[in-house]
Amino acid sequence: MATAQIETISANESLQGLRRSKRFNRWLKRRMPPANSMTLDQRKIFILPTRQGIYFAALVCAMVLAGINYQNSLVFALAFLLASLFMVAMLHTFRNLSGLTLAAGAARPAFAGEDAEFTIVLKRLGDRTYEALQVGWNPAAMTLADLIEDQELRVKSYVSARTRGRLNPGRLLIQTNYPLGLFRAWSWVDLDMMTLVYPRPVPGGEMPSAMSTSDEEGELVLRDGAEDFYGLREYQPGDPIRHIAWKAYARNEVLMTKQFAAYADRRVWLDWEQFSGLDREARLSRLCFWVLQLNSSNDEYGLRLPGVEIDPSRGEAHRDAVLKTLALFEVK
Amino acid sequence: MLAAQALVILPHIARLPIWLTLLCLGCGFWRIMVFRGRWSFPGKWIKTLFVVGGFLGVGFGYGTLLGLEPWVGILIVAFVLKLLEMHQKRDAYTVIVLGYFVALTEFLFEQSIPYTLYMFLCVTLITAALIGLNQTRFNVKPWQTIHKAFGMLLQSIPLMLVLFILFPRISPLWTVPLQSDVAKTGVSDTLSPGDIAQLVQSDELAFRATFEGSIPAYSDLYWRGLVLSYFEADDQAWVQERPGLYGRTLSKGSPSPGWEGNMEYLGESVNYSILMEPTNRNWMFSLTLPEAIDTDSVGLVRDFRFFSFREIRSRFRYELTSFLDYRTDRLLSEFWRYRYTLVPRGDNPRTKQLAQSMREMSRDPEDFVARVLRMYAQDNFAYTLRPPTLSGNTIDEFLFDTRRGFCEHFAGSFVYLMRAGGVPARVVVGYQGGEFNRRANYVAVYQFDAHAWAEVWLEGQGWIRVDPTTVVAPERTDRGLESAVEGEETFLADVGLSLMKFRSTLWITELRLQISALNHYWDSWVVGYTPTVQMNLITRYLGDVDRKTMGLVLLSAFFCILGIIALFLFLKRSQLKLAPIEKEYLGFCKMLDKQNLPRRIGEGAIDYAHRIGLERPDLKLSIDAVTQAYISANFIDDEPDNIQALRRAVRAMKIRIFA
Repeated sequence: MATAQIETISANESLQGLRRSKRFNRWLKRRMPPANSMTLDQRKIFILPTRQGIYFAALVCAMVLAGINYQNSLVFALAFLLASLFMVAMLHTFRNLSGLTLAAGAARPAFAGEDAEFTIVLKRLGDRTYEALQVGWNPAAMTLADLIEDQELRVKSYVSARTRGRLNPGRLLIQTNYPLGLFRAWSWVDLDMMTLVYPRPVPGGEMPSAMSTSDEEGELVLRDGAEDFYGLREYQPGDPIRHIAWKAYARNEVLMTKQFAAYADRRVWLDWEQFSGLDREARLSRLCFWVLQLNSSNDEYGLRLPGVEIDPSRGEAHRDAVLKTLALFEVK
Repeated sequence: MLAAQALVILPHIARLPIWLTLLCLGCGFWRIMVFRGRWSFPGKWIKTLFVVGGFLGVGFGYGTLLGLEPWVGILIVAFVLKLLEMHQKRDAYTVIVLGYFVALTEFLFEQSIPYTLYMFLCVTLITAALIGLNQTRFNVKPWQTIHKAFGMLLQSIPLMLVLFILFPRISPLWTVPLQSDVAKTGVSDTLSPGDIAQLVQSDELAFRATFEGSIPAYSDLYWRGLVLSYFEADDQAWVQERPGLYGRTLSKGSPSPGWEGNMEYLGESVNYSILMEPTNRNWMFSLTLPEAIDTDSVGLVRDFRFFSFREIRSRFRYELTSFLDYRTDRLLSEFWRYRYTLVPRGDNPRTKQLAQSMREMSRDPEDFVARVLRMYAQDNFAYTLRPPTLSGNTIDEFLFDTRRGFCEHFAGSFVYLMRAGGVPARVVVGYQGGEFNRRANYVAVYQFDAHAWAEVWLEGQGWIRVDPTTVVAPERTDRGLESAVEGEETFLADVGLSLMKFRSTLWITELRLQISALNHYWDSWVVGYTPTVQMNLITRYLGDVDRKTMGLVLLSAFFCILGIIALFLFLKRSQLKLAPIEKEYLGFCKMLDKQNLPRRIGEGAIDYAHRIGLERPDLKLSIDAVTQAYISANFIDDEPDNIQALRRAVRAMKIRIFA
């Protein structure tokens, strides 16, 4: 069984104090250039005792002192056993990272102000197992993972998306304290991941006016919330209960959903100029809001930005294209 | 974790007051209830109350806060109370660290092999608890965790041994409280009738002596411990000479006391080492006549026995050279003649009278000695472990009325007679004989080997050992106490079940000797691994090394072993283990590779078979057979039969190739 879940780790346990300087970053980059997949080895793993490890070492020193003062060989023996355990724990902690392969998985775009979700693939070779791995970008919210029975595990981690544009989450921190918590082995891996951050949707402005190109009726489109009955299709989970065709069910014992249709009579242009008087980001936020609105009401819409024009259309692919344009508008 | 805690505390319970045990149980119970969600953690005030109460309880319970037991008490109080306060991971770490420390304190009281093994078990469990803390919630398998902890500890053992052997042992940095109220054991420095008869009821070990060469004869093993040369009239007891009269002792690093010329060593030397059990007294044991020894804080006293300047509170090992043939004090000054013939005025009148008349009948002191010994042999004296109690003039009463006594009766009355007759004499107490363990070449001396004998000073001969007990019960000094009191059935009568009682049953004796030898090695090489032993060992194997080289040797050995463990850890599991089917098939591919028919990268089994089938039509049949077997074994059914079929096909193919 290998699952992943988010565990909040108190901030002081992370290495927040160790702000990475620019020089260190350059050195890291030389040592571990960005790559989509990376296997951790001794060049890439760092290891240091944790606070508990330092306490433990102090305990061992106290024990040696006790052994000296009591001239007690078995106290010495116990102290030395724990000292050796300390060293062996270092090897085990190191081993709990070494040989592990990390690969970039899917990255889901996010709206500014939300968290972007990145998937990281952890892979192991041979029968070496990995336990209690912590993966993530934010040291305060790392994802825990075990890699014991599975050869491969997908771990989701979240990065807060603050500003619109391209989001490179930077170096991924993977760390472990397993088995004794006396050492912390970690690595900063640049998996060269990237996702888009769309503008933060802000409601505002009026519904962009429909621009009927002709008087003739538009295309027939399926749409929830429309009034005209159009046909039946097989029930899919998520369909509203009030649309279930109970009569048809009584007949055939098959759940069917009634579909309604409306005529799309609106082709909307989302225009930059529509929100004059606002600054760039505010305009983009409102445009974004309307993109989402129109997409959910299944309208056809187009986008006009200075220097960019996307013809009206509808569907997921169209929406993504429009959002991408919004995300990358005037972004260096 | 609770289990580990309970196991760690368990051995302490005998030493803890009852309320502390109850506190432990209470806290454990509370913790379980908290864990089950039935109770909540105690409030701030209750906790404060517990802590203050615990500390006060320890303070009042032991009467003091200084000393080893109160400290251990406080440690345990802290250990169990922390349980009620364990909210976070950090608290759990504290409990674990305290747990290791409680395990350590156990060794301050007890150091035997079973205890050590038990504590190893405890440490394993504590370590398992530590691993448990660092595991995720999805993977909680207690046995695996314990197994992992055990494995890690086993890997630590070689490193521990290096540190144990090579880590420089230094003398204590400051004095520490030791176990208080421990009974003083072994022979005492006063001797009144019945004392030794009391002591020999115990089958506890006094010390072990390991000989370098052969062990001297049983009847020569007189372990000198104390010399008692003053008779206290009030207590009717022999005590030590007044301190200060002897002058300085002969000890390492102090100036010559001036009397060492009175020791003449004759004959051959006997080299041996003694590993003493703690007695909490100062005296040490040796065969007369010992040479001065090379141990700190130990002195050879004017009456030729060793004295430790500190009480012997832990196992103590020292190396000795003795000469069983010797002459001491060829000349005795008037003063000492006076001191050694001193008897109290006015007591034991009958004995004094007897001594004077016997002395008058004798030609010389030697004849006097022989005459007195003859008296013991002929006048119906009996050797018994249950002597009648004496009162008043005890020596008179013994010599004329009861005539039944143990070694102290004979030695004491003999010395009294000698002195009353004007011959310098003194009582020596210690042990006689011991149990030979030929396998490990040592003699184990038990409390029931305690003995008292006499020394008389004769003109021109010096001090001569005279043991009046041998006249009455020659078996005592030839074969030991048990055979001397055989008819009485009093040997260790008060001790419950003791393996010692079955000395006549061969296999039990054999088993006991084995255990005893094992304990001996443990005590002398592990528990008794002192700075001196360490120095000897290192000089024997490494020659004379200074501290710097020692440190280098220690570090290099340590990191070599660490490296080996690392190699073991990283190589062992990094190889991909192949299923038997894959192994067979890869063997087949390798075989074809040697025939210049390599398999291309990424080429499937069927394609490969097809391609080389075209290249080598002669092998096509066998290749197809192997491929078929491989595919059915791998993709259809993973049964032993299929593997067998594949194996057969590969073998047939091999035969074809070589044919």
